[in-house]
Amino acid sequence: MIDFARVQKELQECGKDVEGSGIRVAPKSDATLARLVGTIPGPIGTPYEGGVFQIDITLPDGYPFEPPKMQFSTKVWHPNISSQSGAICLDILKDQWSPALTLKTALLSVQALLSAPEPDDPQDAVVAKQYLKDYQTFISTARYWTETFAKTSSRGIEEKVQKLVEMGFPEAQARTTLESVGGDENLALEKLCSG
Amino acid sequence: MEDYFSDDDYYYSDRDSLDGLENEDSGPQWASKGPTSKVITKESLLAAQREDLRRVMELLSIRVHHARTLLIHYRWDVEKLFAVFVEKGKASLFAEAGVSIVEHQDLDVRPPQTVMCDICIEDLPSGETTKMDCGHCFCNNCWTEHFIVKINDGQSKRIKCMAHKCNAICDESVVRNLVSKTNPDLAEKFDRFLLESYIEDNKRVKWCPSTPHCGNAIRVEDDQFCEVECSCGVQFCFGCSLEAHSPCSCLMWELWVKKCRDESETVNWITVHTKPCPKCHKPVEKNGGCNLVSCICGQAFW
Repeated sequence: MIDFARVQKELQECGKDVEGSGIRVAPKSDATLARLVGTIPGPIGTPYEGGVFQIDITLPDGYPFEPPKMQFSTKVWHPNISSQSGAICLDILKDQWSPALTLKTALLSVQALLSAPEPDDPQDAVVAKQYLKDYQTFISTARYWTETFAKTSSRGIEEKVQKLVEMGFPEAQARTTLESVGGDENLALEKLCSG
Repeated sequence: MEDYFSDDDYYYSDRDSLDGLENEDSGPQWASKGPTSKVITKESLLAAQREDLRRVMELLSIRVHHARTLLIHYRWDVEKLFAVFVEKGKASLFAEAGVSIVEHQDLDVRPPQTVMCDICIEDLPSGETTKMDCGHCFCNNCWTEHFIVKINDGQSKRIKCMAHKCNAICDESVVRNLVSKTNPDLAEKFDRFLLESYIEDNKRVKWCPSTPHCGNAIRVEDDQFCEVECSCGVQFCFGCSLEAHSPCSCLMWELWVKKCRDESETVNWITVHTKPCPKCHKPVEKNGGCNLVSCICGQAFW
């Protein structure tokens, strides 16, 4: 059984330091805490800078004794992240997981992975090959993908409203909340969830 | 990690000789059947294991669970363990195997009334928490959950502390006590895994491959690989556990057997979807993630 009390506490903890870390975690819907969405800002000084990346989180029954399942839902060009599925190759999400880690520390590690790719241990062979053979092209592709897929501002407000409506919030409420937080859908979601 | 390769790769050296380790020159050397092997029955297994444990406990003056952790790490090779001890010293011997013996005793301070468990993030009376040898303290419920997950995951032999990056192996008596309170069956399973480690992880001991299994294992006394005979009458090659096949090499024999069974769907599936682990040679299926897979025996490979 998932330790929901701990998940609740983790969400609270993480919420306290959004300004400092830029990392957010929010439930996907009101119904369950087993499915969450994490958001990490692209690290400064990397081709991911300026992007905001969303990560789908599914908690297994054994959480926190089993690692959370994490997958990028924002498309990202990185040797250790599948450009197709968003699957992440990171040791702490597999055999190096420790119950003392949290969703936030795991997301911080994912963020660190964005800064420090490990092309010798690739998830996406095509990206890794490009990284090793033609670094400049890799950088420009990664930057292009960031611009195209990870800039929240590039997505219209309508799309965000629609997304919140799909989650079950009334349209008018979704729109006003989105406007009140300056178009940040995660902030809006947090606000809507907390009532 | 490298020491695994140098010892166990004899039989795959034809295929995997890229790394040029010292095993290059030691191809299979066939010894004649003789008194170099010994049958270990179910009953003598415990005694055989205790004997090795006792030697290590006495030499290093340590407790049984530390001795077991060391021996599992060194694949029950007492001589190798002693050699590392002499060469590198106690501290590095222990650190490599994940044994931590913390000398400091908190004599001056009484344990606090309540302790916060970093796993469930609850404050608990200190009586409901357990401190491992490495010094990390968590609540009993969390420890128990952790042990259950690891035992079910087949990792009984190297259950690590829950703290991040702590390499220490948990005290087997703590595991046994806590798990048996809620899951006595699982605690028994845990004990069986530890007992069988003497065979599974021991490069000088192998299960007799008889079917139905006679319950025996064979121990060879020197490093030479040979063909052995179990007291149940089965003769087999100690190198690959297949039927005796000298003078043909193990690799060639394995390929031959595979070829003979070629029509079998299972073999086809195994050939296509798995890769033998370089350490224990069990077929390993990659069930997701990147190309770095780790075998149940702990060996990671591509």
